[in-house]
Amino acid sequence: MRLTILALTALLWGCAPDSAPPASPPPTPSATAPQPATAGPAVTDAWVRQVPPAARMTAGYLNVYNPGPDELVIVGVESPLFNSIELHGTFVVDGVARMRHQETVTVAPGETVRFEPGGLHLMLMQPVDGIPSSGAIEMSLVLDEGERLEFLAPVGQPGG
Amino acid sequence: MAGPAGGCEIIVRMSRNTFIAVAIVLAISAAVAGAWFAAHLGAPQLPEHARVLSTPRPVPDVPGVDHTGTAFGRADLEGRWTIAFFGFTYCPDICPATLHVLAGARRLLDDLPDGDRPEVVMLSVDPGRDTPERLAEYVPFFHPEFRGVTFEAQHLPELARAFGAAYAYSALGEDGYTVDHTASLFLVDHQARVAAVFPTPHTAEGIATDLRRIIKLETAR
Repeated sequence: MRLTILALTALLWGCAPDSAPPASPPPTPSATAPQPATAGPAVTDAWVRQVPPAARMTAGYLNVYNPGPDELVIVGVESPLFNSIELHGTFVVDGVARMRHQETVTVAPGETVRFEPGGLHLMLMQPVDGIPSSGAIEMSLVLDEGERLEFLAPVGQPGG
Repeated sequence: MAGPAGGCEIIVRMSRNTFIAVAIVLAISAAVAGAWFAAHLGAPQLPEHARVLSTPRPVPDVPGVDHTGTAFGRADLEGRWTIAFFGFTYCPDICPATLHVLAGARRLLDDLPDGDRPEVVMLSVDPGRDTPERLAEYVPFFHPEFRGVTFEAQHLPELARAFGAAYAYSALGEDGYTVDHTASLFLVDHQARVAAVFPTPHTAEGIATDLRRIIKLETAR
């Protein structure tokens, strides 16, 4: 009996040492937008990618939370700093990245939709006076019933 | 009489059992220590995410021009490690994300000797818009040593085929079109051959770790 316990202990001890690979945390935007104080739909973690001054366009990312009982349908995006902003999605299929225009993006009740690199994003085009390389960009999501969700998206790089 | 004899037998059996137990513990400890040393010190490890090609594919010698206006060809890939990927400057999401991650990976590899530190090259799949001047305004922004290369449209299929990469043009937005393209990263070896493929998603740490492992493997070969 003692032998069995000893052997078992030895076996368990032998198996215990580190085997799990360290999990690398996902990149997080360096700056986050303030969360609206209302109980309505919330835009969080908004940011706009800092790009070279010569870039003609950039991408915006954010999370949209829908606490309500009904679907929230985003039909457009506006900003005083860009003449055109579209909802886009990057889809990687068989290793090939495809970027496609999305007419609308729907957030189901109780759900959060994440716009993030390599996935859904706001494509910011036709800057009024160049793409800002710092500061924050005022934007608003236009919902299907005409409501607008205003938010501020700091310009930066993911992960600081 | 049975008493003392039985007691002695117990002592003998116990010491034998103890001996076996100690032997087992020692054997297991030795195995664990051996495995730990193999994993952490000596033997090269396989990359975690990258796929090392069993038959590396030679990169064809197609003429390109880099962002400084300098000619770029197969010879530029020889004698060093190169991380190459396909992209274009009108790409707002995945290409800048890739360049940003690569800049992070490159910084993590700054300690490598010159001969091992990889050059990073973006191969443009958008000859219509990516002039050397445009690449110069874009690629070095992410890292001053990154190189952007553009090719004439006629040469792109041969180049992409050698990498096992795909690209296609699709109408999009007011800017006319976007380019669908393989988002994987490719490691080109000292003989200008595609030696490994890093599939998406990419992280700076993942790329740097795998690159170190591949260099170690290749050096040990």
